[in-house]
Amino acid sequence: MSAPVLTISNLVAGYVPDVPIVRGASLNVIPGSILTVLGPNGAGKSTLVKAIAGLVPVTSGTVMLDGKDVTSTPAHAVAGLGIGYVPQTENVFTTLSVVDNLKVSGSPSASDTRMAIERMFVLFPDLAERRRHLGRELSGGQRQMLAFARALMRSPRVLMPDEPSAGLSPKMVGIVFEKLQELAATGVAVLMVEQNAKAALRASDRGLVLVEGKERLEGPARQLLDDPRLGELYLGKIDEAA
Amino acid sequence: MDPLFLQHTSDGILTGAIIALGAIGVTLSMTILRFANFGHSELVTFGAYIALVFVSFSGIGAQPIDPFSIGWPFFAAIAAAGVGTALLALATDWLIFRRLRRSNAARLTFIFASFGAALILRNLIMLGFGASPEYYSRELTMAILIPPGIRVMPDQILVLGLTLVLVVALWAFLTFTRAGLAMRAVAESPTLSSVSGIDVNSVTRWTWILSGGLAAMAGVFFGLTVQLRPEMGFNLLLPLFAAAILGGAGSVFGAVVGGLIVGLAENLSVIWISPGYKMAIPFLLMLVLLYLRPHGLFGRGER
Repeated sequence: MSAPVLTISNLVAGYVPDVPIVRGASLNVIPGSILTVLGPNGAGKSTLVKAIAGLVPVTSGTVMLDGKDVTSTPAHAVAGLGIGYVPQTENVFTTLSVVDNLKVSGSPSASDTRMAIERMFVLFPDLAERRRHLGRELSGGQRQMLAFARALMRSPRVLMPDEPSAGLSPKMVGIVFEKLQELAATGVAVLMVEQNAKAALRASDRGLVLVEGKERLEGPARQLLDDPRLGELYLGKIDEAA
Repeated sequence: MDPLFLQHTSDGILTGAIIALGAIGVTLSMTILRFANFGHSELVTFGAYIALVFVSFSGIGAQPIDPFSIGWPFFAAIAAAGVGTALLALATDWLIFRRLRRSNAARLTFIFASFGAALILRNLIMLGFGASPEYYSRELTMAILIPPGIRVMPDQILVLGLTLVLVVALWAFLTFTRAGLAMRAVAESPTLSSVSGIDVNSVTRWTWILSGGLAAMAGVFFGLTVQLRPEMGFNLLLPLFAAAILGGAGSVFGAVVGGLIVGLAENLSVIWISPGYKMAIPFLLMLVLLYLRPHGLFGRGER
């Protein structure tokens, strides 16, 4: 197993000082693999990835990207350093065309951006066909693909989709997860937050259950799928002391 | 067609073009800076007076270019007004609005702070230049007669031409450049912009620079075709907002169309009603339009 590209240690984070939502979470993401963060509502899954992305203040703990400390770096700089965050909602610019969505998310170098856009159109042929369409004119699935493409424009080392399957048809969910596996196969590390535990674990290499802002269970995805504790953690049957 | 009607139409287009330049800045600050900047009118005034200072220093020996009332130094004065006003806009942001953003102040606080800044700036002009009207040039120029009987001053044609160039340049900037796209992105969602690698603070600064520069142009053009007074911007404030809202907040094209509608409505109304009421016409139009289209002509409702 290769060395982790993203290492989170004892991360404490929350929107308001003194009200931590992420409470000492730790995890590692390996290049070319998918780690899915599961957990009941309000466990702090989204807050965790937002804190990594630089959107939520971090009180303590560290975020290391490739051995470099990027804790509390402003969001726009985190994106430039190689962490591509895909928000759950409002994840494409609805008033910009597909190609402008990609252009505005590219690096400051115009030639790099041009090449990255061409790469995205190879990766997502649907988007190439609709390059002049506005973000708001896309279907749910196309929109999710544009959201991925937008986050991939800077060739990130880590892609962090927040509930990529939310609001999609079962068929589209399958396509989205396949796309993530395809991306991971190119060496990108994927740190995904999901509610759709079964479908997500089937597509993942590892899974992690977050409860009350801290990881409670971690392991290979196949093993977690059969682990009875998974369901119990979701239902809150395992108490704090366990 | 009735020559009187045509004359008022031509005057209305000119007033409208100047209002449009100011309204673009208003619409940009409403959507990108996210507050109604009532200090915008004073940027218009400052721009006009910066050009006046420049003209009075460099004006000696400057021959007017026939048929206009102004000479070559005037173009340098326009540039100086643009740069100076952009810097003033940046300074007000740095001194006032940046602090409010940091302390997460309510939107109303921003609006009232902009009122305060406007009062201070207006009175500074009054202090420095006095209340009497000023002119860039006292050269007499001949009006050009366009059949069937419209009189247009050469300066007015110059102003229209320059406005057209500025609007097209701004459109190209917002459509084709990365910085322009970044401004539109931040207007839609600052959060998504920042995770896309866009530095929202830098976009904020560019917005002040652009809207300050355009306000200065509006001020200089107004000063050239009408006159300079310390309250010139303040008198334009309501038409500027009417134009921006008519066009739909956030739409540059809308602000231009809104400006033209306001300018035409003000000028054409005097054919039928007393000029004393002409200020009210744009608002009547605005009320009717907002009743029919709550987000303005080119605005979009949800974000």
